[in-house]
Amino acid sequence: MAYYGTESFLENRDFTDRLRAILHGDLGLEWLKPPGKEVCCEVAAKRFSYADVDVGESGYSTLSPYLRGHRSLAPRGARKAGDFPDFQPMVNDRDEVWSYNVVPLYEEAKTRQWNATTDIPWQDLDRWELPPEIEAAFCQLCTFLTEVEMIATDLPAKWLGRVHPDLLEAQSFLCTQAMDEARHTEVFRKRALAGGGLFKSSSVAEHSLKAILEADTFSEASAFLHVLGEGAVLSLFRHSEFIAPTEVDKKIFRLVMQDEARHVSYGTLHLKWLLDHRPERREAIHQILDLGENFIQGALSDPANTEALIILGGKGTSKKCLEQGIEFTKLLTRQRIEEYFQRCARAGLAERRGRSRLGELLALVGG
Amino acid sequence: MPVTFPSRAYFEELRKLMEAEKERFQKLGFIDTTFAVRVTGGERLRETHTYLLTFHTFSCTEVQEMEAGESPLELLPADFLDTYGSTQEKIDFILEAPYEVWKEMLQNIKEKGRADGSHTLNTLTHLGTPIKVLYDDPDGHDRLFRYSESIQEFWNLSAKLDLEFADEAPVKLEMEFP
Repeated sequence: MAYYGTESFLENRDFTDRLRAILHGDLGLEWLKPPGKEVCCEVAAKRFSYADVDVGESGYSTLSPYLRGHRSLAPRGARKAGDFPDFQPMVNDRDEVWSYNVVPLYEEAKTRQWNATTDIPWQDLDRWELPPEIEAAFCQLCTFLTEVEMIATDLPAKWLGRVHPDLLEAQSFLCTQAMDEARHTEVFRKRALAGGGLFKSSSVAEHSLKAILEADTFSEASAFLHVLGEGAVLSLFRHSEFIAPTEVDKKIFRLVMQDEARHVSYGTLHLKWLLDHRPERREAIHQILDLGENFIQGALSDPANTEALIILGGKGTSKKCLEQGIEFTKLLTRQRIEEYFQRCARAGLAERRGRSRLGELLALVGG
Repeated sequence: MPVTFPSRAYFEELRKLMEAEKERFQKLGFIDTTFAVRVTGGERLRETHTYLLTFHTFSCTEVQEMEAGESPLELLPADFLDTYGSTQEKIDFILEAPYEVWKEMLQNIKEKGRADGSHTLNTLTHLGTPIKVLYDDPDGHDRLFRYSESIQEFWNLSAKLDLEFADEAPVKLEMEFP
Protein backbone atom coordinates (compact mmCIF):
# COMPACT_ATOMS: atom_id res chain seq x y z
CA MET A 1 0.00 0.00 0.00
CA ALA A 2 1.54 3.31 -1.06
CA TYR A 3 -1.07 5.79 0.13
CA TYR A 4 -2.67 6.08 3.57
CA GLY A 5 -4.64 9.32 3.13
CA THR A 6 -4.67 12.11 5.69
CA GLU A 7 -6.45 10.45 8.59
CA SER A 8 -8.03 7.26 9.90
CA PHE A 9 -11.78 7.74 9.69
CA LEU A 10 -12.53 4.82 11.99
CA GLU A 11 -10.47 6.48 14.73
CA ASN A 12 -11.77 10.01 14.15
CA ARG A 13 -14.25 10.67 16.95
CA ASP A 14 -15.64 13.87 15.39
CA PHE A 15 -16.32 12.13 12.09
CA THR A 16 -18.10 9.24 13.77
CA ASP A 17 -20.12 11.59 16.02
CA ARG A 18 -21.25 13.57 13.00
CA LEU A 19 -22.39 10.42 11.22
CA ARG A 20 -24.25 9.32 14.34
CA ALA A 21 -26.02 12.71 14.52
CA ILE A 22 -27.09 12.51 10.90
CA LEU A 23 -28.47 9.05 11.43
CA HIS A 24 -30.51 10.49 14.30
CA GLY A 25 -32.02 13.11 11.97
CA ASP A 26 -29.71 16.05 12.61
CA LEU A 27 -29.05 16.90 8.95
CA GLY A 28 -26.72 19.79 8.14
CA LEU A 29 -27.67 20.18 4.47
CA GLU A 30 -24.57 22.28 3.72
CA TRP A 31 -24.37 20.58 0.31
CA LEU A 32 -27.82 21.88 -0.62
CA LYS A 33 -26.60 25.21 -1.98
CA PRO A 34 -28.04 25.42 -5.52
CA PRO A 35 -25.55 25.14 -8.34
CA GLY A 36 -25.04 28.12 -10.66
CA LYS A 37 -27.94 29.14 -12.87
CA GLU A 38 -26.36 27.99 -16.15
CA VAL A 39 -26.80 24.30 -15.55
CA CYS A 40 -29.96 23.55 -17.45
CA CYS A 41 -29.55 21.78 -20.74
CA GLU A 42 -31.90 20.68 -23.44
CA VAL A 43 -32.53 16.98 -23.71
CA ALA A 44 -32.50 15.98 -27.36
CA ALA A 45 -35.07 13.40 -28.38
CA LYS A 46 -32.72 10.92 -29.99
CA ARG A 47 -29.27 11.54 -28.68
CA PHE A 48 -28.38 13.22 -25.42
CA SER A 49 -24.69 13.74 -25.80
CA TYR A 50 -21.90 15.47 -23.96
CA ALA A 51 -22.45 18.36 -26.39
CA ASP A 52 -25.92 18.84 -24.89
CA VAL A 53 -24.49 19.24 -21.39
CA ASP A 54 -21.81 21.67 -22.51
CA VAL A 55 -23.34 24.50 -20.52
CA GLY A 56 -22.01 27.14 -18.17
CA GLU A 57 -18.88 26.67 -16.16
CA SER A 58 -19.24 22.91 -16.11
CA GLY A 59 -19.03 22.67 -19.90
CA TYR A 60 -15.94 21.86 -21.92
CA SER A 61 -16.21 24.98 -24.07
CA THR A 62 -15.27 27.20 -21.16
CA LEU A 63 -12.31 25.08 -20.08
CA SER A 64 -9.14 27.02 -19.56
CA PRO A 65 -6.26 25.82 -21.70
CA TYR A 66 -4.19 25.54 -18.53
CA LEU A 67 -5.85 23.51 -15.79
CA ARG A 68 -4.78 25.17 -12.59
CA GLY A 69 -6.25 24.66 -9.15
CA HIS A 70 -7.55 21.29 -8.13
CA ARG A 71 -5.91 18.08 -9.29
CA SER A 72 -8.60 15.81 -7.91
CA LEU A 73 -11.42 13.70 -9.34
CA ALA A 74 -14.06 16.28 -8.31
CA PRO A 75 -16.51 16.42 -11.23
CA ARG A 76 -16.02 19.45 -13.43
CA GLY A 77 -18.65 21.97 -12.29
CA ALA A 78 -19.14 20.48 -8.82
CA ARG A 79 -18.49 22.61 -5.73
CA LYS A 80 -15.25 21.68 -4.04
CA ALA A 81 -14.75 21.93 -0.31
CA GLY A 82 -12.31 19.98 1.78
CA ASP A 83 -8.86 18.55 1.50
CA PHE A 84 -8.72 16.69 -1.81
CA PRO A 85 -5.82 14.42 -2.68
CA ASP A 86 -3.54 15.38 -5.54
CA PHE A 87 -3.85 12.72 -8.26
CA GLN A 88 -0.79 14.24 -9.93
CA PRO A 89 -2.04 14.35 -13.51
CA MET A 90 0.81 14.97 -15.94
CA VAL A 91 -1.35 16.40 -18.73
CA ASN A 92 -2.81 19.62 -17.36
CA ASP A 93 -2.94 21.31 -20.70
CA ARG A 94 -6.23 21.09 -22.62
CA ASP A 95 -4.52 21.40 -25.99
CA GLU A 96 -2.37 18.36 -25.35
CA VAL A 97 -5.33 15.96 -25.76
CA TRP A 98 -8.27 17.96 -27.12
CA SER A 99 -9.52 17.51 -30.65
CA TYR A 100 -12.08 19.44 -32.71
CA ASN A 101 -14.18 16.30 -33.00
CA VAL A 102 -13.53 14.43 -29.77
CA VAL A 103 -17.11 14.74 -28.48
CA PRO A 104 -18.94 13.43 -31.58
CA LEU A 105 -16.30 10.73 -31.99
CA TYR A 106 -16.88 9.51 -28.44
CA GLU A 107 -20.63 9.33 -29.08
CA GLU A 108 -20.02 7.54 -32.37
CA ALA A 109 -17.56 5.10 -30.84
CA LYS A 110 -20.01 3.95 -28.18
CA THR A 111 -22.69 3.14 -30.72
CA ARG A 112 -20.39 1.45 -33.21
CA GLN A 113 -18.96 -1.16 -30.89
CA TRP A 114 -19.14 -4.72 -32.15
CA ASN A 115 -18.32 -8.13 -30.79
CA ALA A 116 -15.61 -10.31 -32.28
CA THR A 117 -17.23 -13.37 -30.72
CA THR A 118 -20.72 -12.99 -32.17
CA ASP A 119 -20.69 -10.44 -35.03
CA ILE A 120 -18.38 -12.37 -37.35
CA PRO A 121 -19.98 -15.31 -39.18
CA TRP A 122 -17.19 -17.66 -38.06
CA GLN A 123 -19.36 -20.68 -38.81
CA ASP A 124 -19.17 -19.78 -42.53
CA LEU A 125 -15.37 -19.99 -42.70
CA ASP A 126 -15.37 -23.61 -43.84
CA ARG A 127 -17.49 -22.69 -46.89
CA TRP A 128 -14.19 -21.67 -48.45
CA GLU A 129 -11.49 -24.17 -49.15
CA LEU A 130 -8.39 -22.09 -49.58
CA PRO A 131 -5.14 -23.22 -51.17
CA PRO A 132 -2.58 -23.77 -48.39
CA GLU A 133 -0.36 -20.88 -49.50
CA ILE A 134 -3.30 -18.46 -49.41
CA GLU A 135 -4.40 -19.57 -45.95
CA ALA A 136 -0.80 -19.36 -44.73
CA ALA A 137 -0.37 -15.87 -46.17
CA PHE A 138 -3.62 -14.72 -44.60
CA CYS A 139 -2.63 -16.16 -41.24
CA GLN A 140 0.75 -14.40 -41.49
CA LEU A 141 -1.12 -11.13 -42.00
CA CYS A 142 -3.34 -11.92 -38.99
CA THR A 143 -0.26 -12.79 -36.91
CA PHE A 144 1.24 -9.41 -37.69
CA LEU A 145 -2.00 -7.59 -36.91
CA THR A 146 -2.44 -9.51 -33.65
CA GLU A 147 1.05 -8.40 -32.66
CA VAL A 148 0.65 -4.71 -33.49
CA GLU A 149 -2.94 -3.88 -32.59
CA MET A 150 -2.70 -4.02 -28.81
CA ILE A 151 -0.22 -1.13 -28.78
CA ALA A 152 -3.11 1.13 -29.70
CA THR A 153 -4.75 -0.04 -26.45
CA ASP A 154 -1.56 0.28 -24.42
CA LEU A 155 -0.83 3.84 -25.54
CA PRO A 156 -4.15 5.46 -24.59
CA ALA A 157 -4.26 3.30 -21.47
CA LYS A 158 -0.81 4.53 -20.46
CA TRP A 159 -1.92 8.15 -20.70
CA LEU A 160 -5.49 7.85 -19.41
CA GLY A 161 -4.67 8.18 -15.72
CA ARG A 162 -2.17 10.92 -16.41
CA VAL A 163 -4.71 13.23 -18.05
CA HIS A 164 -6.37 15.85 -15.85
CA PRO A 165 -9.88 14.60 -14.95
CA ASP A 166 -11.44 17.83 -16.22
CA LEU A 167 -10.59 16.58 -19.74
CA LEU A 168 -13.07 13.77 -19.31
CA GLU A 169 -14.47 13.86 -22.85
CA ALA A 170 -11.01 13.19 -24.27
CA GLN A 171 -10.37 10.54 -21.62
CA SER A 172 -13.67 8.89 -22.50
CA PHE A 173 -12.80 8.76 -26.20
CA LEU A 174 -9.44 7.20 -25.37
CA CYS A 175 -11.27 4.55 -23.33
CA THR A 176 -13.25 3.57 -26.42
CA GLN A 177 -10.05 3.31 -28.41
CA ALA A 178 -8.54 1.00 -25.81
CA MET A 179 -11.59 -1.27 -26.12
CA ASP A 180 -11.56 -1.12 -29.94
CA GLU A 181 -7.99 -2.26 -30.17
CA ALA A 182 -8.39 -5.07 -27.67
CA ARG A 183 -11.16 -6.31 -29.98
CA HIS A 184 -8.86 -6.05 -33.00
CA THR A 185 -6.22 -8.15 -31.28
CA GLU A 186 -8.94 -10.66 -30.45
CA VAL A 187 -10.45 -10.89 -33.93
CA PHE A 188 -7.11 -11.39 -35.71
CA ARG A 189 -5.91 -13.93 -33.18
CA LYS A 190 -9.15 -15.87 -33.50
CA ARG A 191 -9.02 -15.78 -37.29
CA ALA A 192 -5.47 -17.11 -37.35
CA LEU A 193 -6.26 -19.87 -34.89
CA ALA A 194 -9.51 -20.78 -36.66
CA GLY A 195 -7.44 -21.39 -39.80
CA GLY A 196 -3.79 -22.08 -40.36
CA GLY A 197 -2.56 -20.81 -36.99
CA LEU A 198 -0.14 -18.12 -35.91
CA PHE A 199 2.90 -17.70 -38.11
CA LYS A 200 5.99 -15.46 -37.75
CA SER A 201 6.12 -12.59 -35.29
CA SER A 202 8.02 -9.44 -36.22
CA SER A 203 10.86 -8.03 -34.16
CA VAL A 204 11.08 -5.13 -36.60
CA ALA A 205 7.46 -4.18 -35.92
CA GLU A 206 7.98 -4.39 -32.18
CA HIS A 207 10.71 -1.73 -32.23
CA SER A 208 8.14 0.54 -33.82
CA LEU A 209 5.59 -0.32 -31.13
CA LYS A 210 8.07 0.39 -28.37
CA ALA A 211 8.92 3.75 -29.91
CA ILE A 212 5.23 4.73 -29.94
CA LEU A 213 4.84 3.82 -26.30
CA GLU A 214 7.97 5.73 -25.29
CA ALA A 215 7.08 9.05 -26.95
CA ASP A 216 7.73 11.94 -24.56
CA THR A 217 4.34 13.67 -24.71
CA PHE A 218 0.80 12.58 -25.51
CA SER A 219 0.61 14.79 -28.59
CA GLU A 220 3.81 13.37 -29.99
CA ALA A 221 2.59 9.84 -29.25
CA SER A 222 -0.73 10.69 -30.92
CA ALA A 223 0.90 12.05 -34.07
CA PHE A 224 2.99 8.88 -34.24
CA LEU A 225 0.18 6.45 -33.38
CA HIS A 226 -3.04 7.99 -34.70
CA VAL A 227 -1.93 9.92 -37.76
CA LEU A 228 1.08 7.94 -38.93
CA GLY A 229 0.63 4.43 -37.51
CA GLU A 230 -3.12 3.98 -37.56
CA GLY A 231 -3.37 5.90 -40.82
CA ALA A 232 -1.07 3.28 -42.31
CA VAL A 233 -3.00 0.45 -40.71
CA LEU A 234 -6.28 1.91 -42.01
CA SER A 235 -4.84 1.71 -45.53
CA LEU A 236 -3.75 -1.85 -44.78
CA PHE A 237 -7.24 -2.79 -43.55
CA ARG A 238 -8.88 -1.38 -46.67
CA HIS A 239 -6.37 -3.20 -48.84
CA SER A 240 -6.90 -6.39 -46.85
CA GLU A 241 -10.66 -6.17 -47.39
CA PHE A 242 -9.87 -5.90 -51.09
CA ILE A 243 -7.59 -8.96 -51.17
CA ALA A 244 -9.21 -11.02 -48.41
CA PRO A 245 -9.82 -14.59 -49.56
CA THR A 246 -13.25 -15.13 -47.97
CA GLU A 247 -16.33 -13.05 -47.27
CA VAL A 248 -15.88 -13.75 -43.56
CA ASP A 249 -12.46 -12.10 -43.75
CA LYS A 250 -13.87 -9.19 -45.71
CA LYS A 251 -16.43 -8.62 -42.99
CA ILE A 252 -13.67 -8.57 -40.37
CA PHE A 253 -11.80 -5.87 -42.26
CA ARG A 254 -14.91 -3.76 -42.85
CA LEU A 255 -15.54 -3.73 -39.12
CA VAL A 256 -11.99 -3.02 -37.99
CA MET A 257 -11.56 -0.25 -40.56
CA GLN A 258 -14.47 1.64 -39.00
CA ASP A 259 -12.76 1.75 -35.62
CA GLU A 260 -9.39 2.57 -37.09
CA ALA A 261 -10.80 5.44 -39.14
CA ARG A 262 -12.29 6.93 -35.98
CA HIS A 263 -8.90 6.90 -34.28
CA VAL A 264 -7.26 8.45 -37.34
CA SER A 265 -9.92 11.16 -37.38
CA TYR A 266 -9.31 11.96 -33.71
CA GLY A 267 -5.55 12.08 -34.28
CA THR A 268 -5.77 14.27 -37.36
CA LEU A 269 -8.05 16.84 -35.78
CA HIS A 270 -6.16 16.68 -32.47
CA LEU A 271 -3.00 17.53 -34.34
CA LYS A 272 -4.83 20.39 -36.03
CA TRP A 273 -6.10 21.60 -32.67
CA LEU A 274 -2.61 21.44 -31.22
CA LEU A 275 -1.00 23.32 -34.10
CA ASP A 276 -3.81 25.92 -34.14
CA HIS A 277 -3.43 26.59 -30.41
CA ARG A 278 0.24 25.79 -29.80
CA PRO A 279 2.13 26.62 -32.96
CA GLU A 280 5.39 26.37 -31.05
CA ARG A 281 4.92 22.57 -30.95
CA ARG A 282 5.29 22.24 -34.71
CA GLU A 283 8.98 21.32 -34.71
CA ALA A 284 8.54 18.72 -31.96
CA ILE A 285 5.80 17.09 -34.05
CA HIS A 286 8.04 17.08 -37.11
CA GLN A 287 10.79 15.46 -35.12
CA ILE A 288 8.61 12.63 -33.82
CA LEU A 289 7.28 12.06 -37.35
CA ASP A 290 10.86 12.00 -38.71
CA LEU A 291 11.55 9.14 -36.31
CA GLY A 292 8.15 7.55 -36.62
CA GLU A 293 8.18 7.32 -40.41
CA ASN A 294 11.41 5.37 -40.21
CA PHE A 295 9.96 2.97 -37.64
CA ILE A 296 6.65 2.49 -39.44
CA GLN A 297 8.43 1.92 -42.71
CA GLY A 298 10.42 -0.84 -41.05
CA ALA A 299 7.33 -2.41 -39.53
CA LEU A 300 5.29 -2.37 -42.72
CA SER A 301 8.15 -3.60 -44.89
CA ASP A 302 8.86 -6.67 -42.79
CA PRO A 303 9.59 -9.31 -45.46
CA ALA A 304 7.17 -11.90 -44.06
CA ASN A 305 4.25 -9.49 -44.21
CA THR A 306 5.17 -7.96 -47.53
CA GLU A 307 5.40 -11.40 -49.08
CA ALA A 308 2.10 -12.46 -47.53
CA LEU A 309 0.40 -9.40 -49.00
CA ILE A 310 1.88 -10.15 -52.41
CA ILE A 311 0.62 -13.73 -52.36
CA LEU A 312 -2.84 -12.66 -51.19
CA GLY A 313 -3.02 -9.86 -53.75
CA GLY A 314 -2.04 -12.17 -56.60
CA LYS A 315 -4.09 -15.08 -55.27
CA GLY A 316 -1.19 -17.51 -55.63
CA THR A 317 2.51 -18.03 -56.09
CA SER A 318 2.86 -18.46 -59.86
CA LYS A 319 4.94 -15.83 -61.65
CA LYS A 320 1.83 -14.16 -63.02
CA CYS A 321 0.14 -14.17 -59.63
CA LEU A 322 3.21 -12.68 -57.96
CA GLU A 323 3.43 -9.92 -60.56
CA GLN A 324 -0.18 -9.00 -59.90
CA GLY A 325 0.37 -9.17 -56.13
CA ILE A 326 3.43 -6.92 -56.38
CA GLU A 327 1.45 -4.33 -58.32
CA PHE A 328 -1.30 -4.33 -55.69
CA THR A 329 1.24 -4.09 -52.87
CA LYS A 330 2.92 -1.12 -54.55
CA LEU A 331 -0.49 0.49 -54.85
CA LEU A 332 -1.07 0.00 -51.13
CA THR A 333 2.24 1.72 -50.36
CA ARG A 334 1.47 4.65 -52.67
CA GLN A 335 -2.02 5.04 -51.23
CA ARG A 336 -0.78 4.83 -47.65
CA ILE A 337 1.88 7.50 -48.11
CA GLU A 338 -0.27 9.82 -50.20
CA GLU A 339 -3.16 9.73 -47.73
CA TYR A 340 -0.75 10.29 -44.84
CA PHE A 341 0.51 13.49 -46.49
CA GLN A 342 -3.10 14.55 -47.10
CA ARG A 343 -3.95 14.08 -43.42
CA CYS A 344 -0.81 15.96 -42.37
CA ALA A 345 -1.88 18.84 -44.61
CA ARG A 346 -5.39 18.71 -43.14
CA ALA A 347 -3.87 19.06 -39.69
CA GLY A 348 -1.89 22.08 -40.84
CA LEU A 349 1.39 20.32 -41.53
CA ALA A 350 1.45 20.60 -45.31
CA GLU A 351 5.23 20.99 -45.33
CA ARG A 352 5.55 17.40 -44.13
CA ARG A 353 5.51 16.23 -47.74
CA GLY A 354 8.70 18.16 -48.46
CA ARG A 355 10.48 17.23 -45.25
CA SER A 356 9.59 13.54 -45.13
CA ARG A 357 11.87 10.83 -46.48
CA LEU A 358 8.85 8.77 -47.48
CA GLY A 359 9.12 10.45 -50.86
CA GLU A 360 12.09 8.15 -51.52
CA LEU A 361 9.86 5.16 -50.88
CA LEU A 362 7.19 6.61 -53.13
CA ALA A 363 9.75 6.73 -55.93
CA LEU A 364 10.58 3.08 -55.27
CA VAL A 365 6.96 2.02 -55.72
CA GLY A 366 6.34 4.20 -58.74
CA GLY A 367 4.58 7.08 -57.01
CA MET B 1 -44.26 -1.82 -58.05
CA PRO B 2 -40.84 -1.73 -59.69
CA VAL B 3 -38.52 1.15 -59.00
CA THR B 4 -36.01 2.34 -61.60
CA PHE B 5 -32.29 2.85 -61.11
CA PRO B 6 -31.06 5.53 -61.28
CA SER B 7 -33.78 7.71 -59.79
CA ARG B 8 -34.53 9.67 -56.68
CA ALA B 9 -37.37 7.20 -56.06
CA TYR B 10 -34.86 4.33 -55.87
CA PHE B 11 -32.90 6.04 -53.09
CA GLU B 12 -36.14 7.02 -51.37
CA GLU B 13 -37.08 3.33 -51.28
CA LEU B 14 -33.72 2.49 -49.73
CA ARG B 15 -34.27 5.24 -47.19
CA LYS B 16 -37.65 3.79 -46.23
CA LEU B 17 -36.24 0.27 -45.97
CA MET B 18 -33.47 1.55 -43.71
CA GLU B 19 -36.11 3.08 -41.46
CA ALA B 20 -38.09 -0.17 -41.49
CA GLU B 21 -34.98 -2.07 -40.43
CA LYS B 22 -33.96 0.44 -37.84
CA GLU B 23 -33.02 -2.13 -35.25
CA ARG B 24 -30.36 -3.59 -37.53
CA PHE B 25 -28.93 -0.18 -38.34
CA GLN B 26 -29.02 0.87 -34.68
CA LYS B 27 -26.77 -2.06 -33.92
CA LEU B 28 -24.30 -0.78 -36.51
CA GLY B 29 -24.21 2.61 -34.78
CA PHE B 30 -24.39 6.31 -35.52
CA ILE B 31 -23.89 7.34 -39.10
CA ASP B 32 -23.49 11.08 -39.61
CA THR B 33 -22.52 11.96 -43.13
CA THR B 34 -23.72 13.42 -46.39
CA PHE B 35 -22.26 12.09 -49.61
CA ALA B 36 -23.03 12.16 -53.29
CA VAL B 37 -23.66 9.24 -55.60
CA ARG B 38 -22.90 10.17 -59.17
CA VAL B 39 -24.09 7.93 -61.98
CA THR B 40 -22.35 9.08 -65.12
CA GLY B 41 -24.05 8.73 -68.44
CA GLY B 42 -22.80 6.99 -71.54
CA GLU B 43 -24.18 4.71 -74.20
CA ARG B 44 -26.86 3.21 -71.99
CA LEU B 45 -27.78 6.25 -69.93
CA ARG B 46 -28.06 9.56 -71.69
CA GLU B 47 -27.53 11.91 -68.75
CA THR B 48 -25.43 11.96 -65.63
CA HIS B 49 -27.45 11.83 -62.40
CA THR B 50 -26.25 12.96 -58.98
CA TYR B 51 -27.96 12.18 -55.68
CA LEU B 52 -27.14 13.57 -52.27
CA LEU B 53 -27.75 11.21 -49.38
CA THR B 54 -27.81 12.52 -45.83
CA PHE B 55 -27.53 10.23 -42.84
CA HIS B 56 -28.01 11.20 -39.23
CA THR B 57 -27.95 9.05 -36.11
CA PHE B 58 -29.40 5.75 -37.39
CA SER B 59 -31.33 6.97 -40.41
CA CYS B 60 -31.09 8.25 -43.93
CA THR B 61 -32.78 11.59 -43.36
CA GLU B 62 -32.76 13.12 -46.81
CA VAL B 63 -32.43 12.17 -50.46
CA GLN B 64 -31.95 14.93 -53.01
CA GLU B 65 -31.29 14.88 -56.71
CA MET B 66 -29.08 17.61 -58.07
CA GLU B 67 -30.09 19.54 -61.14
CA ALA B 68 -28.45 18.39 -64.35
CA GLY B 69 -26.08 21.35 -64.52
CA GLU B 70 -25.04 21.31 -60.85
CA SER B 71 -21.78 19.79 -59.70
CA PRO B 72 -21.38 18.10 -56.31
CA LEU B 73 -17.71 19.13 -56.38
CA GLU B 74 -18.74 22.57 -55.17
CA LEU B 75 -20.11 21.01 -52.02
CA LEU B 76 -16.77 19.45 -51.06
CA PRO B 77 -15.20 21.66 -48.40
CA ALA B 78 -11.49 21.54 -47.77
CA ASP B 79 -11.53 22.83 -44.25
CA PHE B 80 -14.80 21.88 -42.61
CA LEU B 81 -14.50 21.28 -38.89
CA ASP B 82 -16.67 18.58 -37.43
CA THR B 83 -17.95 20.56 -34.49
CA TYR B 84 -21.14 19.28 -33.03
CA GLY B 85 -24.42 20.50 -34.44
CA SER B 86 -22.99 22.34 -37.43
CA THR B 87 -25.51 23.03 -40.15
CA GLN B 88 -23.01 23.95 -42.83
CA GLU B 89 -24.07 22.45 -46.13
CA LYS B 90 -21.29 20.19 -47.29
CA ILE B 91 -20.65 16.68 -48.43
CA ASP B 92 -17.89 14.37 -47.29
CA PHE B 93 -17.15 12.52 -50.52
CA ILE B 94 -18.53 11.62 -53.92
CA LEU B 95 -18.89 8.07 -55.21
CA GLU B 96 -18.71 8.31 -58.97
CA ALA B 97 -18.98 5.57 -61.57
CA PRO B 98 -20.49 4.91 -64.96
CA TYR B 99 -24.05 3.66 -64.96
CA GLU B 100 -22.92 0.17 -66.06
CA VAL B 101 -20.80 -0.25 -62.93
CA TRP B 102 -23.63 0.66 -60.57
CA LYS B 103 -25.92 -1.62 -62.53
CA GLU B 104 -23.56 -4.57 -62.18
CA MET B 105 -23.17 -3.92 -58.45
CA LEU B 106 -26.93 -3.81 -57.95
CA GLN B 107 -27.55 -6.86 -60.09
CA ASN B 108 -25.03 -8.73 -57.97
CA ILE B 109 -26.78 -7.61 -54.78
CA LYS B 110 -30.15 -8.69 -56.19
CA GLU B 111 -28.80 -12.04 -57.26
CA LYS B 112 -26.87 -12.88 -54.09
CA GLY B 113 -29.04 -11.12 -51.53
CA ARG B 114 -26.09 -8.88 -50.64
CA ALA B 115 -22.88 -7.79 -52.33
CA ASP B 116 -20.54 -10.73 -52.77
CA GLY B 117 -16.81 -10.42 -52.12
CA SER B 118 -16.10 -8.97 -55.55
CA HIS B 119 -18.79 -6.32 -55.31
CA THR B 120 -18.42 -4.71 -51.90
CA LEU B 121 -18.11 -0.95 -52.02
CA ASN B 122 -14.59 -1.11 -50.61
CA THR B 123 -13.53 -3.59 -53.28
CA LEU B 124 -15.06 -1.50 -56.07
CA THR B 125 -13.45 1.74 -54.85
CA HIS B 126 -10.08 0.54 -53.61
CA LEU B 127 -8.16 0.87 -56.86
CA GLY B 128 -9.80 4.17 -57.73
CA THR B 129 -11.73 2.25 -60.35
CA PRO B 130 -14.39 1.24 -61.33
CA ILE B 131 -15.91 3.50 -58.64
CA LYS B 132 -14.02 6.72 -57.99
CA VAL B 133 -14.07 8.41 -54.59
CA LEU B 134 -13.68 12.18 -54.87
CA TYR B 135 -12.97 14.37 -51.88
CA ASP B 136 -11.14 17.49 -50.76
CA ASP B 137 -11.05 16.89 -47.04
CA PRO B 138 -9.29 13.65 -46.05
CA ASP B 139 -11.27 13.61 -42.82
CA GLY B 140 -14.48 13.65 -44.89
CA HIS B 141 -13.04 10.86 -47.03
CA ASP B 142 -12.32 8.80 -43.91
CA ARG B 143 -16.05 8.82 -43.11
CA LEU B 144 -16.48 6.35 -45.93
CA PHE B 145 -14.44 3.97 -43.79
CA ARG B 146 -15.87 5.05 -40.43
CA TYR B 147 -19.33 4.03 -41.64
CA SER B 148 -18.21 1.29 -43.97
CA GLU B 149 -20.57 -1.42 -42.77
CA SER B 150 -23.62 0.88 -42.52
CA ILE B 151 -23.09 2.17 -46.05
CA GLN B 152 -22.60 -1.36 -47.36
CA GLU B 153 -25.78 -2.54 -45.64
CA PHE B 154 -27.65 0.46 -47.06
CA TRP B 155 -26.73 -0.62 -50.59
CA ASN B 156 -27.50 -4.24 -49.71
CA LEU B 157 -31.12 -3.24 -49.05
CA SER B 158 -31.46 -3.10 -52.84
CA ALA B 159 -31.89 -6.88 -52.74
CA LYS B 160 -35.37 -6.28 -51.32
CA LEU B 161 -36.52 -3.97 -54.10
CA ASP B 162 -38.33 -4.82 -57.26
CA LEU B 163 -35.65 -3.16 -59.29
CA GLU B 164 -35.54 -2.22 -62.93
CA PHE B 165 -32.87 -0.35 -64.80
CA ALA B 166 -32.78 2.57 -67.17
CA ASP B 167 -31.85 0.14 -69.94
CA GLU B 168 -32.89 -3.45 -70.41
CA ALA B 169 -29.66 -5.07 -71.49
CA PRO B 170 -27.95 -7.15 -68.81
CA VAL B 171 -24.49 -5.97 -67.87
CA LYS B 172 -21.51 -8.11 -67.21
CA LEU B 173 -18.44 -6.00 -66.91
CA GLU B 174 -15.05 -7.43 -67.53
CA MET B 175 -13.90 -6.79 -64.01
CA GLU B 176 -11.76 -9.24 -62.09
CA PHE B 177 -11.19 -8.68 -58.42
CA PRO B 178 -9.22 -10.68 -55.95
